Amino acid sequence: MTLTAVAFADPSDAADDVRLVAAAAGGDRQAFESLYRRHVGAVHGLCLRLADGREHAEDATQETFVAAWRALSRFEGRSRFSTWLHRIAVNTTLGGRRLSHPPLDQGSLEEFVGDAVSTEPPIDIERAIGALPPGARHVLVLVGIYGYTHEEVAEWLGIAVGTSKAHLHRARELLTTRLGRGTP
Amino acid sequence: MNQQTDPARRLDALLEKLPQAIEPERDMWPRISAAIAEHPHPSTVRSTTRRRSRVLGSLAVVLAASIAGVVVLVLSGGPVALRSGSWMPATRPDITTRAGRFSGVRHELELRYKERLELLDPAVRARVEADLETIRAAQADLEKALNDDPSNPVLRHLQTNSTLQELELYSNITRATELVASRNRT
Repeated sequence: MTLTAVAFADPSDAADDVRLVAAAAGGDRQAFESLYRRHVGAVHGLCLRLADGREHAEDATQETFVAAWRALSRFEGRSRFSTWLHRIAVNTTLGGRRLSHPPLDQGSLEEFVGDAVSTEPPIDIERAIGALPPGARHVLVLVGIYGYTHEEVAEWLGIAVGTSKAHLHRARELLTTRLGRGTP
Repeated sequence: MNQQTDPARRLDALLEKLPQAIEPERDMWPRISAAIAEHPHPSTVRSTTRRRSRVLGSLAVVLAASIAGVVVLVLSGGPVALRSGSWMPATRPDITTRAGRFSGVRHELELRYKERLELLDPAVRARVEADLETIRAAQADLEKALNDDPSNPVLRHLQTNSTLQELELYSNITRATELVASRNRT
């Protein structure tokens, strides 16, 4: 069983989502538009951080909502709507690619750090994350920013839990090295 | 240790400050609206959901019955201690209504689950507890939504699903720890 522990700041938001999902599943497009308005920021943020560019992220965001509309009848309420939607966003953005390759070796690490040091301080954390190798970036975004568990992320990305942890470790290693060398 | 001398802590602070939401530069709704207009909506959901809700409601009772059977078998360590013609554990003979019996089974399962939880590895236990917390959060959301729209079939369907999942979790933990529990009994 894989469930999500991502919490809403306000529990009533999730209850509102449930009402809107029920209406949208019955064909109410206004309800679906409300869901779009409530969630587009988080979905787009996720797509931007996972995608290979802004255009790709915008396409993925759009496709995520279209896919969600088509799949609403299959939403089983076993997780919160946002989790379900984020999973669709991950699948849409990454196109089902598998990240079974191991994290970066030491040579790649040095190359990454060398590139990163050349940027102007203070560190642009978003840019530094964007410069991470794909596997490490995907896991850092999903675990470090969106708060999903390694078990969830492993399932979503089609990798082992240990690989997910290794990716996060390496991502953090790369970023902290970058921070250690950069001037605050 | 300050942030400058502790890059790991500084990284955590930076990550924590990052917003999850980044609004797109332009409104995507018109394109999405046009795209979904081309796709036939699963409009049968409303009519089929009523049927599914009824079926799932029955399934919930059947599942609860079978789970209760597992629990009673586990507890008794032998023959199932059921009253004749009933799926209720003999430990709760006072419950006569269907809803009451369901609550009784759920309660029994939860008690057993709590006992068995102690037998799990701490990491597994934490994960299971997090799963249950998530299920209960979803149930709370559904209850709130149903207060406003009590006859909504989709909400009922979702509520049934979450209840089934809760029972399934209790049952899985009971089954998974049966060997250890029986060793402890002997």
